Amino acid sequence: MNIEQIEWKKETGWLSEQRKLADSAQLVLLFGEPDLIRRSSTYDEIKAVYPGAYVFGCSTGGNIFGSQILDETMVGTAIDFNCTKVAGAHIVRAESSYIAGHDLARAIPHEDLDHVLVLSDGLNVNGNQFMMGLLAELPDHVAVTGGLAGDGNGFRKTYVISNETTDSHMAAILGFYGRRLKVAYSTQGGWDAFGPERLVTRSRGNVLYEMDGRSALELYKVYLGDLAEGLPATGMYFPLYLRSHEGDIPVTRTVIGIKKDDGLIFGGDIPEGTYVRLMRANYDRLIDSAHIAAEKCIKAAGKAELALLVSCTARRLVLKQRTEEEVEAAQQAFGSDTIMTGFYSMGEISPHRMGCPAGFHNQTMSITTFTEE
Amino acid sequence: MTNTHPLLQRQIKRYVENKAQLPEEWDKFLEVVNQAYWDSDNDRVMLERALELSSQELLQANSEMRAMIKAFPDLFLRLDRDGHVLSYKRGDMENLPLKDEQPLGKKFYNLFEENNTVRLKTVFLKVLENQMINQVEFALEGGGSKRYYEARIIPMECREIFVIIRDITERKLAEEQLVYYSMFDPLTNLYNRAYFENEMHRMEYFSMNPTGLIICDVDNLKVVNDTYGHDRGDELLKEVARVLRQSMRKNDIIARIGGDEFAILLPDSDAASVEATCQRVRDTITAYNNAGSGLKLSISMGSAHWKSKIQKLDDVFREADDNMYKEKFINHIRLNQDLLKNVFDQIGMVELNFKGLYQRLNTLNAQLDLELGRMGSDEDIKLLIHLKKSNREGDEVCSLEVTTEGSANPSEYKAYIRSLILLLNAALD
Repeated sequence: MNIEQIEWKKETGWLSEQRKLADSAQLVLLFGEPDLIRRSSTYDEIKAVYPGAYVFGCSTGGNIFGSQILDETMVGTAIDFNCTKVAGAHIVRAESSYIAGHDLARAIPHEDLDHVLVLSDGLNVNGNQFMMGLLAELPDHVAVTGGLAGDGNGFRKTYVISNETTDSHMAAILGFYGRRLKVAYSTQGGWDAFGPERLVTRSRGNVLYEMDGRSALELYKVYLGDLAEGLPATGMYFPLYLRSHEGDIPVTRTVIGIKKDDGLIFGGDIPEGTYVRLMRANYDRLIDSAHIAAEKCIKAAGKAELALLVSCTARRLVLKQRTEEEVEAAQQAFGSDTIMTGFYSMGEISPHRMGCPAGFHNQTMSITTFTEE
Repeated sequence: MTNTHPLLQRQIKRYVENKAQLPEEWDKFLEVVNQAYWDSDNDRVMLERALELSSQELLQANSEMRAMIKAFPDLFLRLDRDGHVLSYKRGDMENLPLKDEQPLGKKFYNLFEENNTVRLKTVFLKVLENQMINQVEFALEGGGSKRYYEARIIPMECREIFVIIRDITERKLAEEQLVYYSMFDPLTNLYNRAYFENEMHRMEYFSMNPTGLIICDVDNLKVVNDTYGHDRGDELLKEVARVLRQSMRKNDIIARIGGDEFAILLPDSDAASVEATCQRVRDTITAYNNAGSGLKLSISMGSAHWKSKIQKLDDVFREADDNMYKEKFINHIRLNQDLLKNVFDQIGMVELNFKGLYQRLNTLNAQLDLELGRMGSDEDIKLLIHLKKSNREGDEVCSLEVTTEGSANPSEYKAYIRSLILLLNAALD
């Protein structure tokens, strides 16, 4: 597998020290600021450099380029696989999140399918339902990783690009085919639940109205204080730790919007009858968790030629100037030979651990590594 | 740089007297450091505020929980996963008989009478395994009385177990009473009609063996009630129940199915043993009456026999009921034979043979469409006897027709007939 990375800057346009893969790259993973991704010229510019490549990417809340986090840019990672093939598909304005996942899974060939990468609009999707649709159609042995497109702190519009199609209500899938590709993945959090456990007393899908009979939005406003003005973005400071039953694997859910009827929109379902607790960042563990996720991938695959990091926008919001520390921690665990790309997302998609079915997460650092044997 | 963080101000001051002495290219760097300091402060303030708020919420929840626990009269126990009592609150259950007055550190299921230990432990282990709330009822003897308790065992988040022990004696007794009333007749302590019918249908579904059925009706209960009062009538019914119990086997189902009506289901009984049982009842009544200890007992009995599944037990019941009424009819006539003889003499019936009379009446039983109003022809004078007969669906009036011989003055016959009807109605009522 040969990899090279290019960067777009406002002042200079596309920069690249090397474009050795211009003729051979089969895939370009492209991440960038929403306004740049949605430009009509973006696809043509990439194709001009890598005419044979499939362009697959999304808007972000920050682009990971090596161990740097870049804003107001686009970053492209061109990959020339030795013996792996890719096939992509997309769906625009699906009837529901479930149908989006379901139809995407059916849109690519399943024969010899080894791994699936998915990207979706981050603000108009129910991550749970999307995953359920995907998993219902994909073969059991195929792992799914990916994430929901980001929009900085804007919470306005996110975009997905799949070759020549770019849209804000879009989801895309990329299948990897070939027996010599080794994919590893891991997802880690780093948040601590605190305070009382609350029963979800009124919710609808991924919209939460009441906990213990009390308005969820009001509770967030009380906890956020002055920062409540920044809702829904600042809601990310306090994700929810959700458990259904004793013994179930708990999941973390992030606020992604506010409905007109004062419902809080979360990245995934918050079913009535489940128990939730507020979570707060544990700074050291946030950074450690990126290191742990990277280590787990190395342990599973032996080495990583390319690492795709999908980290939650909330982590960036909390870590602020320290955000790069988590990317550096991952790079440190991988070593300098691993090329890292990725983005800050509205939600992460990855199995909890190797061999498990994929799940939808919030507030995590989810890493997928690719290596060809 | 506006609004320099106090810490940064102090740090700069420590190394240079005047900030202006710092090289200009440091400005950008210091700005970033300054922002990091402010960010750190803001984050700290927000987290401290969140922790304070959640601490207040927990305190509030804690105080609500304490108030709730205080308000309940139950015994509360907090256990570790081995069942040891970590803390407890006795509530109003000071008199709960515990084997050990100091439960702390003891295993909860060993705190009560030994015969409850296994049950309590089993449910406790089930809760540990399933992590689901479970409950068990148990009884304790103390102070000469038996009281009932319910232990609710609840798994807690922190891997501890919470147990609530509640005195449910009142509820339990009420429940037992309800169960009793749903199955038994409180006057005679025999099964009631609902239970009997249920058993009958159960037997119909599940039994492959022949079953006997006896229906009994107390004769003259109304006369006793009217003459001696209802208390004596009740006594009579209790005596009947005693007689029936004495005459039946242990697994026979004896029930009071109506005011003066009793029914007995005889499982695994052929026709001969049903008849033998009826005879035992008659013998016991005779012995009772001969002992002369109270009111004379007279029971009309009818039996039938369920031979195969093809037959419906309801039909067998009806057959036994009919047979009982036949006997009742004869009994009543026998009881009033002197009076009847008079009447029959007056209407010219020479032969007073009760069996013959019954058979004749029975033959005419099919002529139910005949009404009293149809009488009147000189050549064809008919004697009608209205027999009021209760059946399971309600009251039913059968018209029994007796043909008389020779001609007579219709108006005289009508007078006789009226007398006879009144007499028989009174006897059969």
